[in-house]
Amino acid sequence: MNSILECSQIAKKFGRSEAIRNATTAFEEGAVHGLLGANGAGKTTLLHILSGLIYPSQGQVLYDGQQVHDNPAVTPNICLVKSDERSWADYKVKDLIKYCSLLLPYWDEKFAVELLRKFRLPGNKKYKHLSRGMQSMVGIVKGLASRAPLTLFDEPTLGLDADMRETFYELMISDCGERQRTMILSTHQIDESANLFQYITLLEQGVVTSHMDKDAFVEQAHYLQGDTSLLLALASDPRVLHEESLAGTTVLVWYGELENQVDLERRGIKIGPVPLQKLFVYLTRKGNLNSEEKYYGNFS
Amino acid sequence: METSRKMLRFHWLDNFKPLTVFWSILLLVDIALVVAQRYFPEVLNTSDNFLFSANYGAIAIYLLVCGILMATSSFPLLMSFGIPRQKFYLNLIGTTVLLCAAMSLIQNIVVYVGYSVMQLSGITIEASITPFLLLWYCQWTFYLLDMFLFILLGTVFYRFGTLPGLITIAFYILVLNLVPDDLDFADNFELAASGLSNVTLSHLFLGITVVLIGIGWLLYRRAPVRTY
Repeated sequence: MNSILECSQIAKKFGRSEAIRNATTAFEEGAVHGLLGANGAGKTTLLHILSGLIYPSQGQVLYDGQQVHDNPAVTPNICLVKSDERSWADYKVKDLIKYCSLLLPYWDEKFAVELLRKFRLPGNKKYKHLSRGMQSMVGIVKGLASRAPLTLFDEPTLGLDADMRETFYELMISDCGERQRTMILSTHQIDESANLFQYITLLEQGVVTSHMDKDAFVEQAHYLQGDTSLLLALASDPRVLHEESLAGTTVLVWYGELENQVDLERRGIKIGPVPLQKLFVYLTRKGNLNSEEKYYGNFS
Repeated sequence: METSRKMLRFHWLDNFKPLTVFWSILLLVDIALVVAQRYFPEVLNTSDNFLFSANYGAIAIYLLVCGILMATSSFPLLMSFGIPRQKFYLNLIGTTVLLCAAMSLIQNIVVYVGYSVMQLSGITIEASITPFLLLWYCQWTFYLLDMFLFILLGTVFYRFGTLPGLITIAFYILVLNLVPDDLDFADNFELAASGLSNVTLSHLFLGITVVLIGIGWLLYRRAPVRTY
């Protein structure tokens, strides 16, 4: 698959703190990407840099081989839906939709009206007077009806109930299926949206730690469950993300190649898949543990 | 070109309602003042020549608020629609120039029509009003300066936060206090703008505005849009 968006050696500093560090990755065209990371990992900052709303302190972002930042040939092709659009606060929903239709070059008015009806959004209410969920819905309408070749969603389902979240996922799948749109979605609702993603980008403390096909990403992780005496020997391996023991039985979360799978199964170890959300949690915890060691190591 | 037209339309849609409300209030006040001057001159206790002076201050205040909003609200809004900074800034200049020109023109019309109505209703105007074009030009340059000063202030607040914004306000106050009193013609444009010195001052205003536009671009060139 061709890459539509490439970022190389991106860094972003806010004062002394470094929000993004040396991020290099490429996003495949016509796919839905999941941008995963813990709170404060730098997802929002990275999305703002990718959309051209923030300049990186170093590095560059290329869309289809062209510079993204302030490039009139590129910026109309990228639509970022922020989780919190404060600049929309004093505008009525109908005015925002009017501005979208005026300024977004690929805007699909018919689809927008259909979405407004589906989400039952009141056109005459100001954005700031909407509930958190409804504000998210306005963002979703902008993102989906923009029909932008590259659409970035930052926490699009904040405050949405389960029904509306499901509606959003269905709309997204059907829209991506019909048109070759590329979407990058940052979310904490990992289990729910796992089926949407074709690629996963993992961000840990401002560093892109992995970017790969979702299935390949998940296939690398295994639950190993069995007798503690058998699994204890493996527990010290750096590929073990997590360990739990209870009444002589141990569960290990293994991330990486499992060379001796057949042998382990023969010895009665049960091997199973790890759901994406769990895998994310274990990877994040492991990353935090490593950085804590590094952090406290500086004091000793 | 297409985007510029659309952005102008955006500004038009964004400003139409507040402008209509503003001018409706101003015209109602002006009509009330003319009526009061005609029938209850002792209540107003002001010269006929100063009747529309409050409009200049009101317009200046309206435009400075507009300038701050353009910098702090329109910038992130338009950037969220994929408008590049350069296009945004060029359009901001164009909109500001047009808005100030339109405000000066409307105020000129109000002044000229107002004085004609006053004369028709028997109120004698002693002083002669500044020629139409000169009055328009003097106002236009003054409003431009006013608006760009506050676009710059809004930008400083948006980009750098409260403290640098307050320092800019303190700097403005300092500079205003250094301006000699005889240069202050904002109180009564239609009379004060007639002197040649004020036209020279208007040229100076235009020059300062160009400098402010340059400083503004330096601030906008790589301005980040807030992540919230």
